[in-house]
Amino acid sequence: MERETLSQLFQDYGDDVYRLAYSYLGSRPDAEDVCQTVFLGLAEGRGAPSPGREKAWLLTCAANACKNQLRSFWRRRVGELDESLPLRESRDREVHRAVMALPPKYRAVVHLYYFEGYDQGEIGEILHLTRTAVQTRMSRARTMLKKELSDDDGIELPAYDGANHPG
Amino acid sequence: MMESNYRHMMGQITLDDQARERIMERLEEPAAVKAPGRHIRPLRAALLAACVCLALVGSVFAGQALLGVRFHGADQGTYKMSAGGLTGFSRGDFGRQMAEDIQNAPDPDGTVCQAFGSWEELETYVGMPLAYNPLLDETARLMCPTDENDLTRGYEWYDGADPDGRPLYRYSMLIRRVSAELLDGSIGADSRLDGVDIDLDVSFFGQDNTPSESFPLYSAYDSENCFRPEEYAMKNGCQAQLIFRYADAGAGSPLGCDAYFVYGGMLYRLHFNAPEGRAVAPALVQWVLDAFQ
Repeated sequence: MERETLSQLFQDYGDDVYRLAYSYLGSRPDAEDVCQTVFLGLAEGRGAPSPGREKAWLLTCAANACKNQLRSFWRRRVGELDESLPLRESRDREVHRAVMALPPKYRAVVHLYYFEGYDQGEIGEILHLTRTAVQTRMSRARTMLKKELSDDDGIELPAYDGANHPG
Repeated sequence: MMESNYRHMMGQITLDDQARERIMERLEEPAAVKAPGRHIRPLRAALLAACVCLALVGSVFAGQALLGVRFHGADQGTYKMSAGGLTGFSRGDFGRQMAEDIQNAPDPDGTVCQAFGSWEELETYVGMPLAYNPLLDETARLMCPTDENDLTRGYEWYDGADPDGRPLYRYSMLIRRVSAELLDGSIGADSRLDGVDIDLDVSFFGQDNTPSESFPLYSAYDSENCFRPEEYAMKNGCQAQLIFRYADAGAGSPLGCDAYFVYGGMLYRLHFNAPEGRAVAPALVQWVLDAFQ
């Protein structure tokens, strides 16, 4: 892949890859490592995205890299809030805390649904899951988030209707 | 709405300028990524702990048994490692609380974090004696009293199977994390950012008391660093396998080291990682290893 194309992909989707990795791993440095791994893999020719499918392809690579990290025997898990996060509003911090309390596999589904706006079929393709699995994870994640956020004023969960994205 | 809250929150999480610059530097020199012997900015310590230290060893020492730890051959930059000759423990072998924590694990990827006030308290929790290292204990006490000084940071467990398909479970506990330097023949505590990070892990394997002949531990991809193994006879009689990591084809000072040894049927791993611009003195590695009782 030509450097210009690679740089453009990084400029366009670097943050998306980084956010998904962060949602999986809950650590900014780990997310940066995954981001670097994904784009270096592209630079080294370990696969290439189809035209028009670049973002989904990169997110799939990121999800795979995150899964590898989560499976790694020696990985350190960071349970506490990453204090370097630039979250100044208390509501943001509360949502962050609630989402990060979810198991990583649920966080990824939540992120791809609520932030990236993918439907469950697309999420299934990115994460290599069946629609049913996506639906189950989303449903469980919502239940857990609802419980976590139940005491918070002004934070309500949007309805999750399965295939259709609320946005 | 939670959706808008979530979008607002995640929208603030982006690569900062320094991170973006670091990655761009790498992408703009793709040839450097593959070129052996060139110094590459090391990945962060956490990733190093997870993958870098084990890579490339497989290609050089494929299939070589390393005192309970075996590095398997390379396949397009992917390396595997397994452990054999370890004792299989059942849940009943562990302390009651640890057994309950394992039983109640919400997710295979989950982690239970516990802090202990003393080594004895930790051993009670684990339910069996552990290799004690007073040097690390003393170093931890010298460090600033932060959470980093807890006797343990928690453990993780993993469901798996051996190559024959028999179920095996592993529990990995990070016992000690300190930062230290070797100072004129003595070890000194240092700040977290300046000293050599030293992590001590101990891993238990569970399979209803059946010894594991070969348990897959890890596979990794790395094409950047090179590694050189050495053996070291510890003063307590254990034989340690050291894997030094170098940036320049084995030249210069090692940037890191993983030391493995088996004690009481458990696998111990010491991970030494130097901050950028520093090195891991082999004498420091030996000093720490020889302190194990």
